[in-house]
Amino acid sequence: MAFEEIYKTYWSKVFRICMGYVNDHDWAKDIAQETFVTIWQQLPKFRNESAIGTWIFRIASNNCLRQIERQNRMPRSEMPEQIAEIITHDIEPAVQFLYKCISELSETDRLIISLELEDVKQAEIAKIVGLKESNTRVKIYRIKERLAKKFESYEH
Amino acid sequence: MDFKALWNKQPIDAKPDIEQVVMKAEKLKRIFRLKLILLNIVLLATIVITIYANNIIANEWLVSKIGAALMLIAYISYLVAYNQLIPILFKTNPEISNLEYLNQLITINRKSAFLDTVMTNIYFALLSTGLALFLIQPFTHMKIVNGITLYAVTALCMAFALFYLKPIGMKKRKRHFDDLITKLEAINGQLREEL
Repeated sequence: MAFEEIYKTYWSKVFRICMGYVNDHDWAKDIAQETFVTIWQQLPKFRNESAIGTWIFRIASNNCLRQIERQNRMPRSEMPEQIAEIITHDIEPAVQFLYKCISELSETDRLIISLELEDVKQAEIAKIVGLKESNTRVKIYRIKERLAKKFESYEH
Repeated sequence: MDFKALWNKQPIDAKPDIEQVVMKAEKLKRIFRLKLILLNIVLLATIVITIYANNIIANEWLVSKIGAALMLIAYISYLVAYNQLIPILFKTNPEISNLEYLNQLITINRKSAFLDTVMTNIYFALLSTGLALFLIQPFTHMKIVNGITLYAVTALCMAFALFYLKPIGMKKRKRHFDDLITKLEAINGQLREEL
């Protein structure tokens, strides 16, 4: 698969996963860019074409985890409400709420649910994260349950 | 609630020109490499000057020779440690699973913290001892006032570096590494939680 094709197919997926992790458009764009720089550099060495998605999501999720080194960035959820309002006024409130809820989960849960919502198979998610498939399934179920509860209180 | 439908409604930022992004990343790498080369040049020059000074002064005393040797060992060991520390920062493999990646980051940061603390202490201990020994012979050839002034100024400079600059730098770096390791271990713990 050529880089251009990968970039076209996976940019939005990688961007959304990064958004789920940091809930900040600029920051997510930075991480997505870093991910594609790595893909650009590593692609000539990559041979297993069938697992390209897993490979890309691994790089993206590891880049997300590495954000812990960038301590000067303020997580979106910790921004003063007024600023948050100005930046996100054109995004549907339920979408904003979903991404806010996800960004409040623990780091690995954020990645697991983002990959699940991106339609990545649970066996693949388990490989990306490094968990057993059965554990991954349980985790996804519990995260979804928590999100559903949050949405229940949001709607009422 | 259809989370997938909501998830996909997130507006996506336009794709940047990746060639420009790669060019920027490469430029940053080059700048970093240049800094590394500069530090090597400065330390190598210091080594050359120390050897040259040792020859010019024609030290006959064994303590002075030991002093010069200790200073040289300090520079060389710092240089070797620094050159070993930098590549491990780039050795992370982004293609492994999150769990393995976290373990790799923790190991790298622990190694960096250890090298930083141990090497800085060794460097300062060797340098100050070496300098003190090295100056004994010139001291005996000077007038007592000049000798005391030389030792006092040197001691003052060393004390400033040893008791002010070193603790500040080390404390800051240690806090940075400790924070990072704690956070990484916490994330790692999330994957090991009992289900």
